[in-house]
Formats: sequence, structure tokens, C-alpha cells
Amino acid sequence: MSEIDRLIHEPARLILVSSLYVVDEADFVYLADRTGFTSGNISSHMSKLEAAGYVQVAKAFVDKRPRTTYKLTKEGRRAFEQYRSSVEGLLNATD
Amino acid sequence: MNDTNLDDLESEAYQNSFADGLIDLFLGLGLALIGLTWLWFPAEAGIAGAIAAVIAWALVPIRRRIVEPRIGYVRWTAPRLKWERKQLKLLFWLVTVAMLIGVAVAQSIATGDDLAADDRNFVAAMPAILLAIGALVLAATSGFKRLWGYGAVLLSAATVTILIEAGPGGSLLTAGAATGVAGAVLLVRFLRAHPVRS
Repeated sequence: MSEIDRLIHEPARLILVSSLYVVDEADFVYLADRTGFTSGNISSHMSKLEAAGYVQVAKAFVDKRPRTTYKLTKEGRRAFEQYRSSVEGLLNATD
Repeated sequence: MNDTNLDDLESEAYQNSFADGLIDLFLGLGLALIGLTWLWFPAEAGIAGAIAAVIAWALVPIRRRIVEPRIGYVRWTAPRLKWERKQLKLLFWLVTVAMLIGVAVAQSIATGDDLAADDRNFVAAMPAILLAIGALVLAATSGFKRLWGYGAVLLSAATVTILIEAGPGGSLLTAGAATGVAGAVLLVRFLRAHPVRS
């Protein structure tokens, strides 16, 4: 049984990573709307995911408004898939 | 979390991105405009269709200005974008064929072609029937529940068109008004539920 990735396992980060996994990329406002998390919460979790190389962050101005866009990296996608199979394996083993 | 959960998550997020009702509002206004023109100036129905198409172009920048500051920007995955292009293509052809049939009916009535009354009534209802098929197919494939309602309104309008031997204008006006009102209600709800985030 492979080890659970604790970085993804944290509930708020799991929701954020899942939300990013089903899209190509999304901005800060999208994640705040989908998850209901506060700005500070999202920023702090995203910084950790970015530091681990799971998330790529891009900052730009669109229509004179700042836009911070997040995208799961290949490593982030792989880590999430690995996390899913680890949890599934763990749950199946306890059946 | 299995693939079904993730598919549901994606599908729910995708549907939520169209909860603003702007597309419904524009589509409704376009259909109503074409319907009204057909009722009073049948020969100009083609021009009304062209105007509606031009108005539709304004939808993209308007949606970006109203929707993105409220629910954010998202780029969907390649399979979702491919599916979206397919649906748009289907809708485009159904609308084009519906409009061409309508123009043909208007021409036939204007030039007094010898078309049997029953055939003429059925052909007059064809634009609404084709649009209803489009709405129902989209409802089945996309999961947007309100499209079932639009399909039902279009089919009812087409039936009434045949029964009362009317032209295509009335059914398009009715369906356009229903779609437009639904869009306006959705838009008001959306604006209340999603204030602009700073």
C-alpha cells in the first residue's frame, strides 16, 4: 500500500486540487466561488501546492483587473491520481 | 473519490458557469425579434435573422464583463471544449435550417405558391419543431434541465401553429418571449447570488 500524500490529504487542499483537476485552469475568483473559501485560505493553500510543484500560478491583468490563474502541473495531476488510488487501496483493504 | 464523482463535479461546475441566463435572454430576444418581424413584415424575416446573429456576437464580451468578475474565469478541459464545439455546430445547423424553412414559407405565401393547406401549416411549424428538437437533444446530452422546458414550449407553439393555421412568426415570438423571460429571471437571481468579488 503506497503512502498517502499528506499535502493533498488536507481537506481544504483536497477540495482545491479536485476543483482544479476537472478543469484545465481556473482563476482565484472561480475557486473562491466554487469552494466558498476565503481569499487568505486559498492563497495559503495554493502557496503550499505551488511550493510542492503541484500547481502553476500565473498573474496577469485582464481588462485592467488583476487575475491570478491556477493550473495543476503534470506532477500535480499525477500526485492527485496517486492519492486517489492510495485512498481506494486503503479503503478496499479495510473492507 | 472515483471518476463518477469527478465527472459529476466537472458537470456541476460546467452547468454553474451558465447559470447567469444571459444566453437564454439573448436567444429569447433573437427569436422574439425574428417572430415579430415574421408576423408584420414576412419579407424582411431574413434581415431580422441577420440582426439577431449580429446581436449574438455581443454576447461573448457582455458575458465576460458580467459573469467573470462574479464567478471567475475557467478554461475547460480539451474533451469538454470538443463536446461544446460539437453542440454549437449542431445548434448552428438546426437554427440555419429552421430559418431557411421559415424564409421559404414566407416566400411561398408571398408569391401565392400552390401548396396544400395541410402541408403549408406543417411547414410553417417546422422552424419551431426544428428548434425544439435542438433544445431537446441539447437537454439530453448536456444535462441543462431548463432546455427541456424550452423544447416543450417550442413543441407546444408548433402544435398551436398547425391547429390554428398560423405562420411561423407566432410560434417563434412565443418561444422567444418564454426563453427571454426565463433568462431575465435567471440573470436577476445570478446577480443577487454572486456579487462582484474584489
